[in-house]
Amino acid sequence: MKRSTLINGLSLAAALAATSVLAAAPSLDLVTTVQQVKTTTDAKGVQHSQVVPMDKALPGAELVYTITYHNIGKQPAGDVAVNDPIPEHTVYVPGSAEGAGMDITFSIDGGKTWGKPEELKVHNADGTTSDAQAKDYTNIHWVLKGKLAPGASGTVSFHTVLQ
Amino acid sequence: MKTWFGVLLATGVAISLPANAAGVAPGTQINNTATVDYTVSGVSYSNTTTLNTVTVDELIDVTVTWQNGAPVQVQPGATDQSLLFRVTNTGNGTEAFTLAVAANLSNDQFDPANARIYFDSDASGDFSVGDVLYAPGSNDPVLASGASVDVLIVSDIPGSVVDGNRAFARLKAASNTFTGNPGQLRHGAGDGGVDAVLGHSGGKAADKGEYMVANSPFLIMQRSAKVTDPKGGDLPVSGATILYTIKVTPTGISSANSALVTDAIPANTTYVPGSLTLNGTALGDGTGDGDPGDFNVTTPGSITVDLGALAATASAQLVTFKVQIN
Repeated sequence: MKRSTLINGLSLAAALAATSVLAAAPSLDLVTTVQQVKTTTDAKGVQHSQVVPMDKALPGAELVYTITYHNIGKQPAGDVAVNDPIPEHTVYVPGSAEGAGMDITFSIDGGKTWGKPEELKVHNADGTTSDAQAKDYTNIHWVLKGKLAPGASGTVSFHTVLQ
Repeated sequence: MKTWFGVLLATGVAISLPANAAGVAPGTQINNTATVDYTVSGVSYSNTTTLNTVTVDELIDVTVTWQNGAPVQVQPGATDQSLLFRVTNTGNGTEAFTLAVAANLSNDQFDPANARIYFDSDASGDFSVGDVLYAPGSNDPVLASGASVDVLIVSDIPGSVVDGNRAFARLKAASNTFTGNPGQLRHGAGDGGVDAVLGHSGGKAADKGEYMVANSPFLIMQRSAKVTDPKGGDLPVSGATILYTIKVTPTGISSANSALVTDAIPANTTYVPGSLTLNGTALGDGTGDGDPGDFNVTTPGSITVDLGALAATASAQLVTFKVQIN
């Protein structure tokens, strides 16, 4: 059986206040942020990239999504798995998914099946299969090896390009 | 895959919409939803968060490309000669563009006169009756993302120009929202009130086309000779005859009004009377005999054949005559 709590970083205080019955329940807090990679070229022609906050973007922008999970409960959490669908109108940047201590797999069918990049095959109309391309990716899945102790936190991230 | 159709506006402006629009539409909200699943003491939990709205700004970009591919050949004094250009909205929003023409450019030999801009309403690629005249501010083309419109610079060629003269004319397009340096931002100026940002074009683009005067046709003339001596050999001895064959091949793009072949009889030879032919038909040696050839009348000491008007597409003309070595 699965229970769902609706607690995230922004509404944490309100949620705790409104759901006092769950106040003692174990919980993982989840916060996601988005930033943009800005590339500038200096006088010597060398390119420099930096990640800057943003809430507006142009087609072609490289977006960096970061998801922070935080065990705000009093007991260790196991089987911690983060699932993030690639946002609509964006394409995953191959090799950009990161997460310390995480097993990372991907889906090209909306999360029905998962695999490493080299395992993902697209079925073509003529019956053949070919390697999945970045645009085929639909979801990213991070699975934490081991348990997350009370008070501990971690982050996962990935890049996409706005179409 | 979206399907696009050509749109014919009431003004008669034909606008084609390619299948690949240039990016996500301005104002689109990009959201991210993350879920974490976990267990505590054997019980499964899930927490989902949807955050991070990114609003897509409008990117203003445009290209202008000359379409003819090679200089458009014109004749002196010709009117309504056209150069074809394509204006494409390479931004992600819908933009109106102001068009302008510059005909007095440098590094050419003449300036086309009376330069105007027309929409190539019938998509013929050149100026036709029914093409709609462009008037800045009244029928500026409004292009959806990825859409393009074909326009013509239509101008008159001065009568004083000569073969090989070239003239440049430039078509310019500028966003009606704003223009400036790439990356420049104007708050709220984009579609639906989002911010508008200038792309690499700075919101404006131009390209130049070229006219070239090509008035005269080129006639290629080749002459060959065949010697027959009295013993049936080919030695150029006294008494031998020489058959001259002159081949005139029209080329170029326009007609010759009057092509005249004249060839002097070589020294120490004598014209063989009645030997002149045009395309295998014998010509009389005198004038006024109803054929276009003569010997020693129009041009003393020479044969003359009047080929008359010769179209560029006409087949090669063959003139032959014989002389005898003295």
